[in-house]
Amino acid sequence: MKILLIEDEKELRQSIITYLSHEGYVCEVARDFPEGQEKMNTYAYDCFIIDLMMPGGNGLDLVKEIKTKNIKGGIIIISAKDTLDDRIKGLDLGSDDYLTKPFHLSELNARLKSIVRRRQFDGNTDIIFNEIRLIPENHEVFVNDTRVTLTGKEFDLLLFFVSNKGRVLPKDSIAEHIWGDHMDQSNSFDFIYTHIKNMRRKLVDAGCKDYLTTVYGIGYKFQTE
Amino acid sequence: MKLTAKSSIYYLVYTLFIFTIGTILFYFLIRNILFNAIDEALHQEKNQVVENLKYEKDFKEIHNSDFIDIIEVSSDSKLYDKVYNTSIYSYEKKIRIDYRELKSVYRRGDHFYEITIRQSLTEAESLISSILPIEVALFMGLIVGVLLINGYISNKIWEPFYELIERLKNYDLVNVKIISYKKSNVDEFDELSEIVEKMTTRIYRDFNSQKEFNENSSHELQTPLAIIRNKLELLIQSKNLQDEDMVLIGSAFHSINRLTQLNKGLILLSKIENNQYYELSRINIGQLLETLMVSFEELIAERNIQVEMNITKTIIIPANQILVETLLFNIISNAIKHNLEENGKIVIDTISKNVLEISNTGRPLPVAAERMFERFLKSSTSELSVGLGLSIVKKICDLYKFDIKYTCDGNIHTIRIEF
Repeated sequence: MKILLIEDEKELRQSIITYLSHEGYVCEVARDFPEGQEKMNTYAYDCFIIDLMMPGGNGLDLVKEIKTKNIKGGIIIISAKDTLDDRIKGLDLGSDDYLTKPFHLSELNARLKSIVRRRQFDGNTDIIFNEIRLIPENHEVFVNDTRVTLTGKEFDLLLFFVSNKGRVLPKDSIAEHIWGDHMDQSNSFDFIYTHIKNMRRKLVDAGCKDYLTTVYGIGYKFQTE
Repeated sequence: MKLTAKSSIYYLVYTLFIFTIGTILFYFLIRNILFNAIDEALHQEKNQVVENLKYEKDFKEIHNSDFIDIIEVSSDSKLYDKVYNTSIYSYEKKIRIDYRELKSVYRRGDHFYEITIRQSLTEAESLISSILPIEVALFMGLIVGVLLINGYISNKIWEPFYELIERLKNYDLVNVKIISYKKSNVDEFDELSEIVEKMTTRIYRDFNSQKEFNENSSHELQTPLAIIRNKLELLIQSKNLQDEDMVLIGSAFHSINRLTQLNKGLILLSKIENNQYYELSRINIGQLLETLMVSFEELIAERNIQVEMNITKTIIIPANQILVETLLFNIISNAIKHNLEENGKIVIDTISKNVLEISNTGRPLPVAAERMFERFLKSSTSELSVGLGLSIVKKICDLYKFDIKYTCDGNIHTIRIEF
């Protein structure tokens, strides 16, 4: 899986690459507009992660170019600008997703996975994690072929955990993923906790191993060990 | 009291004073002149009578004439001449008529005669009494004149002034920005208008640079915030961290998130100020509330809050969808967050076609209700909140000129919005 990250901020670039490399992605970077343009026209990628404001040009023009030249690959826009205009423009131009900075790496990872999944298998792919099988299209979960009924939020949680398996997920990023980035949701932690508790119980009741561990002081981790 | 009314009153009081004094003086002056003239005439007539008497062989007394009486008096009378007012009853006209009389005792040889000559004062009196109505009429004329002129002054001459006041009244930094200079034909007003223009230009410039600063600083903050957050996210993946390290990183992580939320709030505020949410659509408040409540359903169930929705009237307003959503979201989110631990309740009521009331149970306010919309004002109970929620609510209401009121009656907190 090959990804091109076009981002001018060095530190952000490094963090994203580090996180995504652990997921087994091959990450290439472009530091500015011309470099990004050159790379995307020369090599093939599964997904482009494009910053909007860069030296040398606007990322939206790259999105436009990818679409007009029919270059294959999903597109995620990452931008510090959170104007509705840009968001709509970006999605209209054919970008698959739009993330506002600052975002959680786990969130970027989850979105990336969902895009790649959608593009490669037209979304008709099950996500399998040991005995757990998720069908994102229908929001269905099976444990050893037994159907587990999860609420929408619980399903989102499980998908988020599975997408970021083996990673320590801070409560804040879980809350933001579930709740969206509406501000001032101080009471969402208890809420998240309840959802996690319920999801966990339902999975275990269905005969699933308890993969979720609490990371003291931070949040949770979904792993096989 | 209007300036012109005030000056009118001073003018009128002064005129009244001068007129009263003038009328009194005038009355006495005219009276004096008239009496002098009459007295003069009476004396001349008396001299004439005396002249005539000299040639008269047989003296004949004249009685009860209208104008003259001559009677012989005893010889020990003193000689005198005196003029005075008197009134005599006229049988003919059945009224008392005022006269000016000259009584004079005249000696001719051994005979003494008393001559009384009188002249009716009717004419003089009517002359004098006609002065008062004339004066009053003049005074009235003057008052009417002053009022009319003042009315004209306040309408015409002061017009630019009142116009300027009106423009100042409607002044706001979002729509009006600068009150531009407008020429009038009064130097003072021109000067005032010029100063107002300069002043508002300066205010607008200051406001703008402050706004720009806010905007830039919050935007510039985003990248370092993103970097810190992402580095921490990477850091916690490390296998070498102890529990206590995790706690430290956890609280740093959490603080970064709060900072991020805060920053987002500030960006939102400055975007509202910059009028970046200009797209309007017709929004059905009731429908929007119902959809919003669905997304809150789980949270509400979690907190065991009882919700009562009385959306009986349809409220439809032209506004920006995102802003109205944010407005209602923040209010409901607050209503949930600051609700009681037990037996909490939220009531959503459409009072009329443009009034919405959302009330919730909660602890009594630690501060005055009017201060609730200030930025960064937080109740002590929820240390996690950023403190911008209600000030964003207020900002959105200000933008659309919605009237929002926060009241707290014991345990019931109510937000009332008049669209």
